Amino acid sequence: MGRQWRLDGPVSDSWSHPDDEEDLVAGQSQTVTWSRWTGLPEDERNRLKWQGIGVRVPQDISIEEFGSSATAFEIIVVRIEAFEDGRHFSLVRQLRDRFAYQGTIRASGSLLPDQLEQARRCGYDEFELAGTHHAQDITDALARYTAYYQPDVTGRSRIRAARRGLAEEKVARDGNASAAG
Amino acid sequence: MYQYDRFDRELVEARVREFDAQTRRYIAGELTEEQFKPLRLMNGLYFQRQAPMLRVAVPYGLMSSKQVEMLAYIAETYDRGYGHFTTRQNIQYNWPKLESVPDILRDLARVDMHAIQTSGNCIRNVTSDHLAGVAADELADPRPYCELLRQWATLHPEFAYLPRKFKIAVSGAVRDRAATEVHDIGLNLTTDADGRLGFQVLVGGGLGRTPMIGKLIRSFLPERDLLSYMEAILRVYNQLGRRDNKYKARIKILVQSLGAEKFAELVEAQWQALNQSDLRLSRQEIIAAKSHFPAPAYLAENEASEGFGDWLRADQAFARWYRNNTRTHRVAGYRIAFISLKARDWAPGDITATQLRAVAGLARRYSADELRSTHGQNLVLADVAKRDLYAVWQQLQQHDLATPNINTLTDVISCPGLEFCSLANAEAIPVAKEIHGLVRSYEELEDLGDIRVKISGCMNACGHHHVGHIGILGVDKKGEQWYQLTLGGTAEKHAALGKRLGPAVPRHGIAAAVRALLDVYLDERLAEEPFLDTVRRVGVGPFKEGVYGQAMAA
Repeated sequence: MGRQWRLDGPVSDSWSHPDDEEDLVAGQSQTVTWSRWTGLPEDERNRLKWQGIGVRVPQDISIEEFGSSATAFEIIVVRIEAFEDGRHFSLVRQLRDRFAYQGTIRASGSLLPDQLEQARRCGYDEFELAGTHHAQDITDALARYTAYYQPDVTGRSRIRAARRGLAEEKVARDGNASAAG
Repeated sequence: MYQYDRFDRELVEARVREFDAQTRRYIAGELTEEQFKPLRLMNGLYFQRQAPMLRVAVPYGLMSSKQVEMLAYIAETYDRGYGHFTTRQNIQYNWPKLESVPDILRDLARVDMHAIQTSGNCIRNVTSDHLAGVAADELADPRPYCELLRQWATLHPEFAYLPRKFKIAVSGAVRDRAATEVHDIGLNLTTDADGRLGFQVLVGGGLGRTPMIGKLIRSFLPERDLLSYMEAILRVYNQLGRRDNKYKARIKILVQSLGAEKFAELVEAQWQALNQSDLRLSRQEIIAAKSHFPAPAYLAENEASEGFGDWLRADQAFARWYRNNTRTHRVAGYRIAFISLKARDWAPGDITATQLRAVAGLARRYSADELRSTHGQNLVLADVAKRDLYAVWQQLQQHDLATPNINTLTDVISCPGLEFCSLANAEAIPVAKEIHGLVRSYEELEDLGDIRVKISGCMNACGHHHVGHIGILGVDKKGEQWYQLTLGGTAEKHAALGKRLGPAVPRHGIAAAVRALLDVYLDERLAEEPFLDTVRRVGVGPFKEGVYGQAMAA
């Protein structure tokens, strides 16, 4: 797998990702596949939850199936097989907005540097990109736009909110001007 | 029209820089063809049979004179001196060089234009009624809502990689000139029992390989909830739309397979679940959007119409143009004037740089500095005082833009066809030219009246043949060009898909087949009865007989 990126730059992976056949070791910051997780007995799941566990989900997992379980995990790794398949953007957006998931969400696999910004806006905070990419392309992609029309999970400068602010300032200014006059 | 502020401008400029970098990475081999494809498509760039094609967005068909002059400059500087208006109100250039596309985008940005989301599997340019704001049958102006939708859809983080392309059309009038029933989402402005403004929401219409009429999923959506409801529909589609087969990936297939009722339930549930308050339009936002579309200062009727009656009586050619190419304006003393891009021997929708400059000049002088593009691949000067019509007509004539044929047989809608498009099976533009040859005089054309001919070079239906009164579809039979005819389609209110007439006709027989349809109409019609009404009244039988002879007609 390629390098890890957090929003502020490259990092190393502090999680391990054992195959479904491998044993899980307590306290090792491991992730399990969603299919393995759903097959585990309940007491085993509770034990793992207590120790801290992450999950790996496919990009087409149904939010209705997965959403309410999300809070069990410290990290959700979304495995992206095809970069043109945009289902995971809706998945992650809903994990944040609808299920109020507060943990880490990582995109792993076939994502282009050009998609990182929208991934971030939908709720991802880590990326693990397949293939080689220039660090500069990634930095550029994440710094290119300063404001957007839509609300998003980043709560960054939003054009609608900024315009509202400007309109209110203007009203206040006009009000002061007429009071002064 | 909508005036950019610094936020709009900064965003478009950032998009230009982004695409510039993407193009350089592609040329340097850092992006593969497969990776570059969706990136270039969502910025309007196709790789076509002969050269790249760049589609420039004309949001809901509205352009200033200055913008049109820039379109002329681009045609001259980067292309072969002309552009092509599409059926979705955009303009495309067929011959730019890949390396020069970033420069084109920079030039467009100078006049607040771009190519954002004019192609690709994302939310496309929002289209509307080309007579918005001036039509006599309008309940409310759709353009402020189109602009709000444009902004919401632009670089939406969640919906840039949809299963397939997604088209939204908005109409605010009694007559549907925006084809809302054949769009992924069609919005019709309406009022509720208390007189509040809102939208009727249709979903799942479309043409292409599986043509369908949109289904009503909400009879009243308050205007403030426009964006949140769109978000709910798109979220359902993004998650559940098919991705295994591109021909089954449009929202219409999802709506059909779930049933409109079940689909509506999913949307309502999603709508309840999402954070509506973040997307809710405030009264101030709606007022601000509306303030971008003020009516120009109109003259009083007697002043606006001065001398007009004399010209009308004195010049028959002018009178014919007036009858065919102008329409009633909601303000007395004014007319809506169509600029025909359907001259004989000219590809439907094509326009030269010289013509673009000429119409920009006319708009500046006579029509509130604005031009509109139509679904019918023509242009509109929406606010012309009657006293200026004669001068407008004379200048249009000089540029071969005054063919008096709006909504008649020769006002053909056509896709680019085999000569330009790598998907096409058959020629489209040469067929359009042959149709021009079917009538010998303007009297004859006027007598035939309202006939909408639409030609698609393949089943992807870019020429909208399904909703042509006469639809012509190019098909490939063992490497030869054949054409399938349909009859009785329309994209207006109570939209209908044309009925297949019979077996395909060969390339050399298509003009004669259309002539036969016209002859049947002339025989069968009642006094003043338009073509479509005759087709509806007598059915396809007599037309079948006319085209294929008695033997086939059973």
